[in-house]
Amino acid sequence: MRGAWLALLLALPAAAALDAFPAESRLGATEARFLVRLPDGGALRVRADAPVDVALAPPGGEPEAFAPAPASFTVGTATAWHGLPGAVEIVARRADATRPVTLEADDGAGGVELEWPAQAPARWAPAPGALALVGLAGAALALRRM
Amino acid sequence: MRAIVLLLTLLTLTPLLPLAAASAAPTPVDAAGPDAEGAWALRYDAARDAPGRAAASLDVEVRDGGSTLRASRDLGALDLPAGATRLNLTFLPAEGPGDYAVSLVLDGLEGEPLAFHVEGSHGASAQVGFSVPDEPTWLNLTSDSVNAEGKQKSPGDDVITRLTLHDGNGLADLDPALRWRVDGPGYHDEGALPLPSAPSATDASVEHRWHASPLANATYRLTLSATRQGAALANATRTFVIKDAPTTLAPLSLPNVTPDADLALPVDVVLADRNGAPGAGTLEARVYRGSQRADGLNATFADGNATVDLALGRPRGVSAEGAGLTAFPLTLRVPAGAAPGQARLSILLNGALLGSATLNLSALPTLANLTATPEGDSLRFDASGSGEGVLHVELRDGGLANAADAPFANGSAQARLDAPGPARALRWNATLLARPGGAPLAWREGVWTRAAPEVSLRLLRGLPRLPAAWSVEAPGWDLSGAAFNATFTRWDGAPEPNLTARFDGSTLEVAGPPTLEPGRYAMIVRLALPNGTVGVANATLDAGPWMRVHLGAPVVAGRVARLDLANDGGLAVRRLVVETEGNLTVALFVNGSAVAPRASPSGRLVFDGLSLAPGDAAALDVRLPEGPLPAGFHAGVVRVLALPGGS
Repeated sequence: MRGAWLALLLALPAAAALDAFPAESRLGATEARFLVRLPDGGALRVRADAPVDVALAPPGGEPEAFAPAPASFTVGTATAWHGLPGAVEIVARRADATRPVTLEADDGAGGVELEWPAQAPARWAPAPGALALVGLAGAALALRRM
Repeated sequence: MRAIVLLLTLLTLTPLLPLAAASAAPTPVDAAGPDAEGAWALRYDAARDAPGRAAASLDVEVRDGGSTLRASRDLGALDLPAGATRLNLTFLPAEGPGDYAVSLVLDGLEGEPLAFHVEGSHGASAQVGFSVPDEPTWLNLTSDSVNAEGKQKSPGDDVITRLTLHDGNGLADLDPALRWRVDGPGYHDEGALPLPSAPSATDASVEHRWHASPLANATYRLTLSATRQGAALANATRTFVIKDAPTTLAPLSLPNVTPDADLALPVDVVLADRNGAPGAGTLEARVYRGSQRADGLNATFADGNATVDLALGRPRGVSAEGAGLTAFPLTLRVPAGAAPGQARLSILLNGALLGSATLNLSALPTLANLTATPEGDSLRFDASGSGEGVLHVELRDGGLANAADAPFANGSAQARLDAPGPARALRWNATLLARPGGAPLAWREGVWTRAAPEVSLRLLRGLPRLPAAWSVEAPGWDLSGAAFNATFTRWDGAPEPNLTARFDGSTLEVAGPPTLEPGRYAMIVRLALPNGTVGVANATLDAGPWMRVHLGAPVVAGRVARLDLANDGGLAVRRLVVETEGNLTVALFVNGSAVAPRASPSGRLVFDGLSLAPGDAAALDVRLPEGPLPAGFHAGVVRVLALPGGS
C-alpha cells in the first residue's frame, strides 16, 4: 500500500530549449566551431568523449579562454547571429585529428550532440621547390653518365 | 387604212394592256332588226376579271356590191362588273344597205363581228363646225367697304378683298385659281386663290383673305389676276395701309440674389414690335428702390451706358405672336453686401416706361454653430445659423477627398460624408456659401480621428519550422472581409521575398522554403477593413531550419511519468541520448512503438536509428523501479540530447 502511492517529481527541461545550427558548423582538423543558441541565455555545459579544449566565442568572433572538456559556460543574450539573441559558437580544439569526437552541449535540461568526425592526416606532397631540386639532380646524373 | 387604224388603236391602248390582258375579247351573241326606226339590236358578251371602266366602240364594215365601207361608233366608257356581262346595244345602220360586220371593241380588244344584212334603208353622216366668240373676262372689286382703298390694318390683321369674276365663255376656260400678289416698300408676297369648283359657270364671287406679321408700317398694294394658261386676262387691285404698332417689352424676370460678392447679372432685354423692329429712339435702364434710384446698383447696356440707341439692337427672330424681336443685352451690377430688400429694374423707351422687373436681394447667411459627429464610417455635419445658402463640406485623406454641397435652408443644414480613404485621421472642412461656388462666408475645420482595430497575433504552431500559424484577433472587429497584406524583412533590414503569408479571416499562415536562412525576421501585417480602417500588427519570427527539441510537461500516473517529446526544429532527429538522475528507467515510443535503446559506456540510454521529422512527436516514459520504495516524493531528472540529421 505504501509503495502504490509513490509519486514522481521530475525536473523538466526549460521550455526554451537549446537550439543548434548544424549547418553552420565549421569543422577543421584540430579546431571546430559549433553554433548554438540559448534564447534566454543561461548555463551551457559542454562535454566530449575525447580530450578537447573548449571555449565560447561570439558568432564569427574570437574565442575566450579555452578549458578542457567538460566545462561550463555562461551564455548571455547580448551576442546574436542573424538577429537571434543568445547565439554563441562553441570552439573546440583537439590534438589528435584522427579520433572522432562527439561533443554534448546542454543547458542542464537537454541539448544536442555535436559530431566532429576524424580527419586523416594530410599526406606528404612535394612542394614546387622540391620538385625543382629533383629535376636538377636528375639532370646532373644524366650529365655524369654522358 | 385599216392596218393604220389598228396600229393607232394598239398604240393608244398599250398602257391599258395589263388590264386588257386580264379580260377576254367580247364575243358576239346575235343581231336582230330592223325595228320600227330601222335600228338593229346587237348583243355581245363581255368577260372581265375585275370590275372597271372600259372604253367601248363598234367597228363597222359594210360590203355592198364591190365596195367596202368602214366606219365606227364611239360608245364612250362602260362600267363593267367582274365576270360575264351581256351587253345589249342598238345600232343604226347609217351606212346604208349592205352586209354589215359589226365588232364590239372593249379597251382595244376586238371580238368577232356580228353579221347581218340591211336593206331598204339608207343613211349618211357629215362633219359640222361652229365658231364661238371669245367673250371678255371681268374681275371686279365689289362695292363692299372691306375693299376700301387705303384701308388701315394692324400687322397680322386679315386684309379682306371681295370681287366678282365673269366670263361669257365659262370659267372652265380659265386657270383654276386667281393669282394674287402683295407689294410694299421692300416687300413682296404672292400666291394663288382657287376658284369655286363650278367649271360650267360663267360667274363667281371670290373672297381673298391675307395677313402677315411682322409687317412694316407702310402702304401695300394687293393685285388679283384671272389667267388663262398663265397669261393675265383681267386684274383687280387695291391698296391697304399697315399701321404703326406699339413696341413692347418682352416678359422680363430677375433672379433672387444674395450679394456675397460683387455680382454682374446678365439681363436679356428684348423688345417686341409687330412692325418688325422698333423705330428710332433710345432705350434706357434704371434701377430703383421704391421711388428712389437705387444707390450702388446700376444697369448698363453692352456699350457700358445706361442708354442705348435702338439701332444697336440685335435681331432675335420672330415671336410666336408674330412680333419681331430685338435684343439689348444688359448687365445689372450688385455690389457685395448690398442691403437686402427689393429693387426694380425699369426699361424706358424714349423716356416712357416700357416695363419693369423686380430684383429680390437676400441677406447673407450666417453660421453660428457647426458640429461634426462620426457615425460609423461617415462624418455627419450639423450647421445652424441664419439665412439661405449652401454648406460645402469636405473630408480629406491626403490626396483623396469626398465633398458635398448641402442646402443651408432657413439657417440650418445637414450633410454626411463617407471617409474617402483608410487613414485613421482625416481632415474636414465645412464652409458656408451664399450659393454653390460662391465666396466663402464662414467656415470651420477639424480632424476626425477614427477608431481602428487593435490587432494581435497569437502563435498557434510552428517556429522555427515553417509553415507557422498565428491566430489573428481584433476584439470587436470582424476581420472576415479584411484585405490582407504582410511584409517580411530580415535581421539586416533587407526584404525577405521567400516568406509568404495567407490569411483566411482568422488564421495567418506563413510559409517558407527549406533553404530559408535561419534568423529573426520582422513581419508587418496590415488588415484593411471594408469600413476603411486599417489594423496593423507587428511580430518577429525566429524561423529557419535549425535543431530544437522540446519536452512537454510530465503526466504522472503511479510510478510512471509520460513526457511528450516534440521536434520543434526544422531538422530531423536521428539519435536521442537520455540520461537520468535518480533511480529511473526510460522507454521511448515513436508512433506508439517502443524503440530499443542501447547503453552507452557512460551509462546513458542511446536511441539510434530514429527519423523524427520536423513537427513529429514521440513519448518518453520515465518509470520508478518496481518493488518497495519509501513513502513520499521521489525526485528525478531526465535529460535528452538530440543528434540532428538532415532537414
